[in-house]
Amino acid sequence: MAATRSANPVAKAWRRIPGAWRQPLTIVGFVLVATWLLVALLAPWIAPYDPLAQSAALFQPPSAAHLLGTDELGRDVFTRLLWGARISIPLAMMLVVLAFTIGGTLGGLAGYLGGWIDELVMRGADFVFAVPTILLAMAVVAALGPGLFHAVLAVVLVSWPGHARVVRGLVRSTMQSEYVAVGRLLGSPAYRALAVDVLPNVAGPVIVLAALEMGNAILLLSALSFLGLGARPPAAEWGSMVSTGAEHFEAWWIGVFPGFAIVSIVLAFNFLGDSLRDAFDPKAIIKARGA
Amino acid sequence: MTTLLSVEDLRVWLDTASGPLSIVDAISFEIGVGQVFGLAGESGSGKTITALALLGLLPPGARASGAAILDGRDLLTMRAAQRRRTRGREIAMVFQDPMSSLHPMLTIERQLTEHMRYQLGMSGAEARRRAVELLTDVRIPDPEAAMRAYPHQFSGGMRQRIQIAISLACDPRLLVADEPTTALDVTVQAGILHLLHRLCREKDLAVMLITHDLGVLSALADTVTVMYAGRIVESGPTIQVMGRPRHPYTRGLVDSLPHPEAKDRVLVPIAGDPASPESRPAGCAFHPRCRYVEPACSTDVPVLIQVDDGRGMACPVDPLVAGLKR
Amino acid sequence: MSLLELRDVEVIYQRRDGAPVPAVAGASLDVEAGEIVGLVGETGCGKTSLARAAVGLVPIASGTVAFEGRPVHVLSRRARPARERRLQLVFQNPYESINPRRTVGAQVADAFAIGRTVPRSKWRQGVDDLLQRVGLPASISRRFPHQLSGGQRQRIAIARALAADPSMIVLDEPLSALDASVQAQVANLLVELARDLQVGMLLISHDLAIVRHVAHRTAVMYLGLVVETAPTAELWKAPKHPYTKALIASIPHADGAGHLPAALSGEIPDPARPPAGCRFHPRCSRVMDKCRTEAPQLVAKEAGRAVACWLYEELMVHDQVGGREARS
Repeated sequence: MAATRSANPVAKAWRRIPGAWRQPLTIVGFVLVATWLLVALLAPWIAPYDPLAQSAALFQPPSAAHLLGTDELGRDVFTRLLWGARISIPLAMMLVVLAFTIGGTLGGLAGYLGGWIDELVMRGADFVFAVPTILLAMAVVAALGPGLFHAVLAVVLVSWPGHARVVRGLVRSTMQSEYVAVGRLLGSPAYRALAVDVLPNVAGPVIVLAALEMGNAILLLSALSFLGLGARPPAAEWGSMVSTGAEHFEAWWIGVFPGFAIVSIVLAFNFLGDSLRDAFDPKAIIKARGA
Repeated sequence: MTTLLSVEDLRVWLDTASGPLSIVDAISFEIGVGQVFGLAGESGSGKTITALALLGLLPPGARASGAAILDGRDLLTMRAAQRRRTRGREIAMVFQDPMSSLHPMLTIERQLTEHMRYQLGMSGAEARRRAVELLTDVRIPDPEAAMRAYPHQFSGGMRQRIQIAISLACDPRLLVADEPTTALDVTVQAGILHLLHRLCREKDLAVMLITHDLGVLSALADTVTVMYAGRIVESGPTIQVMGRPRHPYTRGLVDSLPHPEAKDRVLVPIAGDPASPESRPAGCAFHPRCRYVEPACSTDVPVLIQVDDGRGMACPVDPLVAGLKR
Repeated sequence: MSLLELRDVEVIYQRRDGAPVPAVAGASLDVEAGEIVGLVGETGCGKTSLARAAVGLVPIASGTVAFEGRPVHVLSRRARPARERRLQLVFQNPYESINPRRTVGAQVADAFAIGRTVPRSKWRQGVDDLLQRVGLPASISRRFPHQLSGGQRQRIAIARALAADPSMIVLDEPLSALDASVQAQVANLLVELARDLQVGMLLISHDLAIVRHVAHRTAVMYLGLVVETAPTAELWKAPKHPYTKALIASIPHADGAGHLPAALSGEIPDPARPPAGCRFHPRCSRVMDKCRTEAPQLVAKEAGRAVACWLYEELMVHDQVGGREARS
């Protein structure tokens, strides 16, 4: 019993997307992330006001003039929300790239060379894991002095071990696999095995981890700013906006909307990361290629 | 032969996103009291799933229909509590890999007695005594010491004997053995075959012997039922099915085995790969690999027909069957 | 000089609790070009360790491994010496010995890429030729391993080894992970390859029936030692070593006649604590006093047969048989 396929062009385009990517959560993740990326890009043009412009209209609740109200200095919350994306997202990206470059390299060396390098890297990672993340990050910022740049450094410091451990595990298990042994017997030096066999195995999980870590990074950065250790005023950063909101509970719109923004973007990256994980399964690669 | 288990029209299917996937397709058979019933087939044949269906151990998502009557009760429609009583008490199962079916962190004593105390309500001392008896029965050297030991301290053959001992603890009428010797060395396998043979005779125990190894079937089974892609293709007394196989698949299996007197070094394999549930061909599932294929084979599913005494065959191409139909 | 010569090879593993386990305790074996030698034995006999030592995957504690007359190097981080690439190994499990994330065609072409003997423009053709040789269609080269069946995967593994233009292939249980109806196909392929390409093969297997059908000569291992070697047909017709006899007698015949195979008493001992004297003596039906204290050596008998058993040594001393004194 054949169902009649609709000739609707949207439906047709939809069906051409490979099965692995057509899951509801994947779509939600993609759409949300894309939206926020666009917002970050276009904020200067779509924001109604200047994020730093103070006015006399303090603590105004959401209205037609100010969609999400105004804060304690009369600045438009909606504008600052949009501009906040321009801080959080690029910083988080830079942060994640740094973390997986440093962590991935260290972990890869540890897995490939073994011996004392392995010991050193893993004990370093263990040390970082042993201390509660937020405390360690706070300690680093306290030592270096407050500021967004130092906050980024702190988060990189607490994030690299996660990447290192994943990469080390993958490198080790791949190098010990039978197919690498086959390659070695065919005459390949060990470093070729790295490029040909290890990298494809490592690439997928690392990308998934990076996507998930974006969410984590934004959360940590916001947390540090919330504690006053990250962004300095008057920067329109979500974490510090939430902090201000906590001081002025009656003007709930000051803290709640930035809070929602943080939640939505972290969720978006988590959905994206989960769907990437499913999509990187070799079986799904076949569906994606339509072979 | 008094019938112990009567299976009628057993179907097992998997509920998948793209509809029901048939794994076992309407099979029927009988196992007599004290009979060794051989169930032969390769991967994808559905033989293990058949056993799991009888024991109520189907994986999630799998459903069964039909009837499996043991002593007047239908195994497939039992309530959970009754099934728990039946499993272990009347039917027991022995698996292929004794390392994963024995609990690695419990002593042998615990694994034997716990089972007996639950099913038979024995006291600790009684269960202990019976456990030592069972270990002696399966020829474990120094049963007392064995009771205190853990599974990893035993070899594969010994662990299999222990597994058999556990399965016999409550004196079941039917033992389902799924590839019981496949993971064992051939000399160890010989020992287990002797053990099973003796236990069958002594305890009037019926055995459902599931294996792809034709040698094992030949040594132990009274009857052999051959499955391919979820259906029965041939059945009958072992001496007949294996000595003079009729169905093209059975013939192919026997022919692909190394012969004692082969001059030429070429084995006669069956072309192609075994059918899996996802890729079951239409009509006769074996037809793409069959030497005797005819046009009708790709559309008509062959029916299992009784030919001469006790033999069943599902292949219309066989001249004897064709003759009967006319 | 044989293509592959193993002499008194010892392979020792370190167990986690420190006790060294001699997986192979002094085994000797030869393989010639175009010949298939089957190496059979049960758990703990050391055949897999011997196979890996033969290609240099694991180091040997003593003894020699010679390929084409020169010693085989143990694999280190550096590339294997070019001439040793003609000595290849096919693993047992075709699900693990092929990288799931690369196409099978790319993996078959690895030997071309590494060896640099074939120009890149010829790779595609080379891969297609190899696939054809192992009985697979050329179109399969674009597929990923999980799209292939076990039998197809094992053929890919064989093609991959063939791409290195080997003169000798060691195969570690190449058929065990395959279905019965597929084993025959791959077994036939091996026979063809040995014959057509004059490649020597050392076929490790626990399945005596298949080895019987495929191997020209068979060697039997027990607890780390080779106890008997002979042309296959003769080994089956007239086995000499009591263990070989017991092994053969324990195979059930698939004739439907209901005969139980003979069982061998006792268990395989722990390789770390082998019995004194002849390692098989506790389970031997013909054991003599000498067997309990002195270990027999593998001694050559008539035409290509060798056995390590005191039953035959006594005869030899009396009969003064000439023949090679050298172990084989």
